[in-house]
Amino acid sequence: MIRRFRLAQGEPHVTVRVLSSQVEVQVGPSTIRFRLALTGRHHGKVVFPEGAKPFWFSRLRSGAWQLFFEGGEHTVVLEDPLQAQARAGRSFDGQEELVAPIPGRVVQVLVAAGAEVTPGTPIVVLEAMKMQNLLTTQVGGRVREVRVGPGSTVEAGQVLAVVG
Amino acid sequence: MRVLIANRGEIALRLIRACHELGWEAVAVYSEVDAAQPYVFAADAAVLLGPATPQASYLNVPALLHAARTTGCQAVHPGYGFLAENAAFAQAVEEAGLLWIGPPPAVIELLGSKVEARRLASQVGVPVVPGTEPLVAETEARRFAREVGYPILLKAVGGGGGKGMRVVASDGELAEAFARAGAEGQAFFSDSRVYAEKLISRPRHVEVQILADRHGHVVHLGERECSLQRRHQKLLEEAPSPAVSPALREKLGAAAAAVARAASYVTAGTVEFLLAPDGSFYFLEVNTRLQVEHPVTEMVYGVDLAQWMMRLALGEELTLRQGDLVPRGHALECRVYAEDPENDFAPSPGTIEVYREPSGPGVRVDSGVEEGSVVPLDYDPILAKLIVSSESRTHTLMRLRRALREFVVLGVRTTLPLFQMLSFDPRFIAGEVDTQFLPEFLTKRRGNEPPVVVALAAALETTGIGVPAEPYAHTQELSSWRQAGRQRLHGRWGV
Repeated sequence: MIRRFRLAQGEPHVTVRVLSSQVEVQVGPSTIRFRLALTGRHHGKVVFPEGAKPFWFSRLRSGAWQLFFEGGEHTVVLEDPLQAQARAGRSFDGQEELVAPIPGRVVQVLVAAGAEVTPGTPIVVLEAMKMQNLLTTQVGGRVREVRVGPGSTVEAGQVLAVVG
Repeated sequence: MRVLIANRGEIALRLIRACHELGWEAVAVYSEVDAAQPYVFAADAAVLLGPATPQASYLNVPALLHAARTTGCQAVHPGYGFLAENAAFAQAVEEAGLLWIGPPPAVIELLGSKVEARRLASQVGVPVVPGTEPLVAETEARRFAREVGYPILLKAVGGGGGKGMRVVASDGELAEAFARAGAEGQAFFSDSRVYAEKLISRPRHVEVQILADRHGHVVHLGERECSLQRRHQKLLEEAPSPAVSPALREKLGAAAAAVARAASYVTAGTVEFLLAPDGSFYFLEVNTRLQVEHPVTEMVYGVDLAQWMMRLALGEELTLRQGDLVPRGHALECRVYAEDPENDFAPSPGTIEVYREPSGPGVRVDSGVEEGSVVPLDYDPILAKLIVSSESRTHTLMRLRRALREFVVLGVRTTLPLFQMLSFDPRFIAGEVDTQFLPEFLTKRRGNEPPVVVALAAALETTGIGVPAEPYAHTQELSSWRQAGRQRLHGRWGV
C-alpha cells in the first residue's frame, strides 16, 4: 500500500509505504522506517531498530493529528491530495498538482507541457465508472509537466500534471 | 462548618480541598454541562444550579443562595471570576445570614472603582500612574496628553481585563479611542465614564499578596511576576519576580499593606503594580479575591492562602508575622487553557481524550479536569495549573521542562506547547520579561514539525485509525493489519 500526503503548511510531500514487516515514510528528503504497535485507543509505540518509543495520539475534529512524542506535543495537518483537489482554488507553492480524484483511465490530455493556461482550463479527461470527467486546473500559469497520456491507467491521488 | 463553593473547575476543587483540610465540609454547585466534572464528585454534596449559560448557573444569585440554604451551609466562597468581586452578591450572602468568605461588601465596592482605589492609594502616599479623574470630554484627555506626553491610556472607570481600555499615540487617534472606551465601558460595566493615564513604556506587571484579619493586622507575602500576558490575561506567573530585590520587595509590600489598611481590608487580596524598567512602581488596582496564581506564593512562603482566607473571614487572628515571612526558593505557574496558541488563542472546546498529569518532586497540579472530561464553551477555558517549585529559579526552570515532558493533554488544543517553547527561550530564561514580551514571542513562528513526527502521523493516517468505535485489541501491529487485509481492519475498528 502506498499513500501520499502533503503537509498543510506547504512543507515536503509525504509518502507512506506499508511494507511486509514495517512502514517506510518519506518526508521530503528523509526516509524513516519503523514498526507501529498500538497499545490502546490513544497510545502506542514506534519501534525503531535502536528501540521503541511510546506516543499518544488524538485525531482532532479539524482532522489534524495531535501527537505527544519524545516529551512534546506536535500537531500535523496532512492533506489527502484528493481533498486538496476537491477544495477549489487550492494551490501549493503557487503550483498545482492536478490529481486524479478517483481511479480511472485517461481518455484525453487537452494541453501540452509548456502551454499557458488560466484557472479553469480543462487539462485531462478521465474516465471512471463509465463516466467521463473533465479535470480542470485551479491555478493559472504554465503547464510544467504532463505525467500521463491517453490510455494511462491511474490511481486515486496520482499526479496527472503540474501547473503553475 | 459547611461552605458553599460558588464556582466551578479547578478553583472549586482547590477550595473543596482547603475546606477538607480544615476539617470542614464543602458543597459544590454545577450547571447542566458540569455534572460530571471532578470537583462535583470531590464535594460532600452538590447542587444543580441550572442550564450552562452563566446567567442561569454560576451568576444566578437566587439559585446560589437557595443551594446554600437547602444544604445547610454557613458560608459562601466565591472563588475567582463569576461573582467573586460582586459587592451586591457579597451583600446578599450576608443578608441571607451566611458568612461571606472575602472582604466586606463595602470594601469590594470601594476598591472595585478604579478611581476610588487610585485616590485611596494616593492618600496613603503610594505612587499612582499620572492620570485624571473621570473625563467629561475628549478635550480634557487632550489637555492631559499635552501635560504628560503621548502615549496615553484611556480606561473605562469600571473596566478590567483589558476591556474598555485604549492606547492613544497621538491627537489624531484620541476622538475615536475616547468614544470606543466609553462604549465598551457602557457595554461591559454599565458605566460609560472614562479616565486617562500616562502609558508606562515596557513595564512589568507585579502584584503583592496580602492577608488581613478583622483585628487590624495586615501582612504581605511578597510579589508575583505576572508580566506574561496575552490580551491582558495572564498566562504564566512566578514568585519571586526576577526583577525585585529584597529592598524593593519591602517597599512594594509596605505600599500594598498601606492600601489594604486604608481600605480596612479583611481576608486575602492582591495589590497590583506596574514596575518600570528603572525600578519605580505605580499602584494599579486591588483584586478583592483569591487570585488564579495564588499557588506560586503558597509554594515560596509555605502558607496556604485559601485556608487563611477562610479562617480570617471567620474572624480568626492572623498569627503570621511580617518578620517571619521570607520567600524560599522559586515557584512558577503555567495556566493550561483549552486554547490554541498557534491560532491566536482561539477557544478549543471538546473532549479530553488523553490526560496524564506530571508528578514527582516539586510539582503541583491544580486541575479541574480528567481524561474524558468535556470542555464546555460556556466558561473560562482554564483546565489546570501546573505549578513547579524548587530552590532556585534556574532549577525551577529545569523542573518545568521535566514536568512538561510528562504532561499530556490531547483531544483539545492547549497552551502546553507554548510553555515548552518558553522554557527554552533565552529571554524568558534570563527573566528579562515585560508585558510586551509574550505578544513579541508569539510572532516567532514555530518551526516545522520534525520529520519523524510527520512520519508517525502519516503512518497513522494510512492505517485508517481515526477514532476507533470498538474497543481496541492490544499490541496490534501495522504489519499484521496489512496481512489481515483492510476488511478485518474495517471490522475491528469500525472505520
